[in-house]
Amino acid sequence: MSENDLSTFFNAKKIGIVGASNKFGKVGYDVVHNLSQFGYPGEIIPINPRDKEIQGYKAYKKLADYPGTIDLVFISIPPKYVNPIIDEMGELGIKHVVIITAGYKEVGVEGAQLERELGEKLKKYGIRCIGPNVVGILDAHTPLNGSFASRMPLKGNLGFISQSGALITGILDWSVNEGMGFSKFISVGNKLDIDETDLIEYLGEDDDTHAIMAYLESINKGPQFIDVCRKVSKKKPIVVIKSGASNAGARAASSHTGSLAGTNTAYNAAFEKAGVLRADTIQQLFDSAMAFSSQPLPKGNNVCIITNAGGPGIIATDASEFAGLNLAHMSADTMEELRKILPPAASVYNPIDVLGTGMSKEYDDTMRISLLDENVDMLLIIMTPQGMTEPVKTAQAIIDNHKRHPDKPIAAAYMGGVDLEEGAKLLKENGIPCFTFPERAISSLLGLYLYSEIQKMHLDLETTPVFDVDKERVAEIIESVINKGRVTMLGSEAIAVAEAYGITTPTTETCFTVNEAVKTANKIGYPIVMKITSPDIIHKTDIKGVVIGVKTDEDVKFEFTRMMDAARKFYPESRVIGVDIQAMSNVGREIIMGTSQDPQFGHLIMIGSGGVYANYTKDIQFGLAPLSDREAHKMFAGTKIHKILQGVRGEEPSDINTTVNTLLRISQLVTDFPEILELDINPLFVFDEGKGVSAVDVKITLDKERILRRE
Amino acid sequence: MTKNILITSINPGVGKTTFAFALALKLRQKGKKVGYFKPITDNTVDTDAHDAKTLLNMKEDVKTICPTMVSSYEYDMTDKQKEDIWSKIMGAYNKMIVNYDFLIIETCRRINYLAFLGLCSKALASKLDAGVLILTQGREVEDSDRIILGLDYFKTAKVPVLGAVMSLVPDQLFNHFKTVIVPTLEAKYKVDVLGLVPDRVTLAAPTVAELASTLNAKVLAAEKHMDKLIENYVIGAMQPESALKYFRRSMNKAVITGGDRPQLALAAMETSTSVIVLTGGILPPARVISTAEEKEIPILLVGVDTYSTSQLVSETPLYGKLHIEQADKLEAWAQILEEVDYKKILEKIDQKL
Repeated sequence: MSENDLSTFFNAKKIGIVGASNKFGKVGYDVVHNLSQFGYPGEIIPINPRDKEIQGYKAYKKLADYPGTIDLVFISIPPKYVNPIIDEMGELGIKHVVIITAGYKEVGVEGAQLERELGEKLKKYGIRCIGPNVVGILDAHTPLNGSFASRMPLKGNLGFISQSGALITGILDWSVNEGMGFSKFISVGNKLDIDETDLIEYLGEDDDTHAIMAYLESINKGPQFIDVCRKVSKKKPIVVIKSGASNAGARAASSHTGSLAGTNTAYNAAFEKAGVLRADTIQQLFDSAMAFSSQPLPKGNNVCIITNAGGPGIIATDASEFAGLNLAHMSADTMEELRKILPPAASVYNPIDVLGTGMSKEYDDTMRISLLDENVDMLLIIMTPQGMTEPVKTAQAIIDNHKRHPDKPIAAAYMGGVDLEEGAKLLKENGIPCFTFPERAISSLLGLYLYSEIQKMHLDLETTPVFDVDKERVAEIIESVINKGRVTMLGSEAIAVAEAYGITTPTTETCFTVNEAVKTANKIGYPIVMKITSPDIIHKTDIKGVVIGVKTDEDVKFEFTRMMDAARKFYPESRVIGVDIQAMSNVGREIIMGTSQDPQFGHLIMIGSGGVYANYTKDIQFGLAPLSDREAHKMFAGTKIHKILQGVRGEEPSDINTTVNTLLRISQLVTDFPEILELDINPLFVFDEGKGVSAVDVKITLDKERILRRE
Repeated sequence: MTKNILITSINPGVGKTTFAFALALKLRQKGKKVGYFKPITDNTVDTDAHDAKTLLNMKEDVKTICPTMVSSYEYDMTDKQKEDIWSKIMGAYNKMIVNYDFLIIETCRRINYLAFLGLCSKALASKLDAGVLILTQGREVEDSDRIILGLDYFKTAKVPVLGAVMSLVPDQLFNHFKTVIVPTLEAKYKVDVLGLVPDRVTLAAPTVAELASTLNAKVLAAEKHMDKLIENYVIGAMQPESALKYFRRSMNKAVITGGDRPQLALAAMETSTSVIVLTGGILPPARVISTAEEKEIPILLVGVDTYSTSQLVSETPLYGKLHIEQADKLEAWAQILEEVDYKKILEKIDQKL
């Protein structure tokens, strides 16, 4: 059994319950009761120092008293007694534990200390642990309900991982009503050992699970999460609802998890790279779940809507387009066929309106004809209750048509209550996602389409170009900056780093006296650019610290003195202040480019419209390093400035290729030197096609601790 | 005749005491019997004498090592009172000098402090047979002007100047000092620059424990890690999404922010942070405290708001007092002394003895 094989948690033959109880209302009561009442086929071994029998099962005082080998232990006793149990498990060689007990780092310093000790013990004995602070784990196929939730899910093929225990109990209760089936429910709690990444990897290999759903507040191991999800999402969809997307939500999530809520952009970039679908609401999560559990993936995004009412048809059309689905263009043949079977007043254009008089036959014929049209990738059937409507017979027709065309997904919106109930139930029982309103049906079809796109992404060959660069030069610069006791580079140093990675930059030198500045200016040749430089000054223009087009020695002296005085006045604490003397660059289109190391996922790379207003226009796209060719092009194409750079209003197109290459060079730089925490190029001037770019201002911040650790 | 070394400084807070101790230890290693003497303090809670006693293992009592207290609140002193002060100083000095080859004498504040009373470093040096070592910061080139002013000052009393040591020189200016400033000082102004000490904040940075006591703060987490040094202060008042960028620019910092801003505290913990000061008396969520405990970053809680806290902090010099339990600082100085030409200091003393 490999280290990562978590299957024992779900197919253990013998389960010990430490804290098993006869007292109703105790968690230890529920765990035994649930294992028992929901038909756990293995042996239930209660551990209790006082009682001889727990709920009819022979109880043991200690784990060691049981004569056989226990596979898995559940613990629900107060935290201070847990660690000795782990010692016992270690001695007995039991390798799997679910710690339901709460009262760890979620309660403060003492809890955090206990949790740390617990973690050390688990490592020492090589015990895999789910929890602490969990509801438990449930497997509908085994069946195994090791939790204090009061229900068992219907048997199905959805795996659900949740960082919120309460969400599990809520969804569980709701899903039974909805007829939604699950393979496994896993509560991850404080994620001391096993976390979402381990579980997604496990569920990726689990034959009972066809789609993975997760509710997450934080992600433990960002880079591994991406690697694992990239692999798993080739085989099955992963839909994640990551809370804390809003500012206030992020704050709440931080408080709740005690970890820095990575920026929303970082999560989006990570999910995109990993092939994970992000749901914004719980409803969206389960709307797509419903489709994934029974429907095939569409070949494209063309949807055909069949309705018996005009209004809902238009609403569904809007919802489709807003979501990014396309209303299928029906072929001339299809429309001709439809005209033959539908009344003259019916609309044969998509959305197809079979009219209020439409009975099951009209629906059936329309579906049959539309499904044959190769322009149609998926169907949405809308029904409103009218005089001649046949909800149940129509439902059967939908089911039959789906059987004939199992390669095209179908969803339904049965818009009503009492009158349509029976039909809706029939649809759900037969695996047709059915909702009360069309927007949700669209959302479930959208999930299928988005996942089909992820699968296509996996088919693409990702190529990451490797440029010929001067790594040693960069290593030297970094070492010298750190040796000088700084973490931020001066302008001239950062520019030299960019240059070493083949990014075109104007000649730049830092000077500390007027004499040095004049000498350098003459060497470079007038006119020149002067910029104040200091590790403590972020926004140079705020103190008029940038002057362009300085032409004489006199002016250099004047500007040098003025800038240094201003800098000293506004940054009296600054330890280093000098002036960068830079060669004049031609002015091109302004782009901003940069990276920032996200604490969870690594280097987040960005590109967008540049200039002093960059912070306000926010025309920015993000991606995670290392970028592939495809990702870099996609990022840039996602910005508004990209359109302008292609050439609008008769202007020459700009050098888009060199711009994308610059982005890829940055990606290579931060991948080679992960100690670069922040890098900003603003502006990067982009010139006409074939004429390249120029990085006129570069800022770099380093991670000193990482460099020292490495040494 | 010069017997002793008097250490004075142009600006306060450049690490005089630590330097004096480190120099004394170094000279002892070289076989010299050296004692520490601080004739005047202006501080009611001066611990230097006590620290010297412990650190240099001196048998004299604290009152002998530092016999008098005078401050600028006594500029109306009578001649009789001044004479008393001198007789106390001389009495203590005579008691000490017999036990040592020579003394390292430290003066308080700056070069001409108490000159009005005739008790400044110039007067002390001539009465106590001392050559002067001028310690000054070298944060900017103008500091060289101040050394020249100091030279002139001692010239008037014919007090010999052994040399100057410039500390806190920013790395970026180091070369400029070495190639332009120092040679000129030596050639033209005939002063030996015995040391050019690069700016290493660890030389004098205060500890988290010192900050906690200044702020009268409650410690919420990582109580075992109060000996961390604070090199910078950053006020956490930015948007959480830009916090990382700002926090990453300073090392070993104290972050001061509201107790109701856990995201900023968490962002700070992702960067090089020595302590987080939460203001307004607002307790952060338990999980945030737990994270600090895990990351071994102390959290301090104070009742006052962020503004008042930052005021308090700005009144506490970043270059804190030496505490002898802080072996770190002395070690740092001992290392730095390798860059200081202490052999030349010794030579000079030998010559003049």
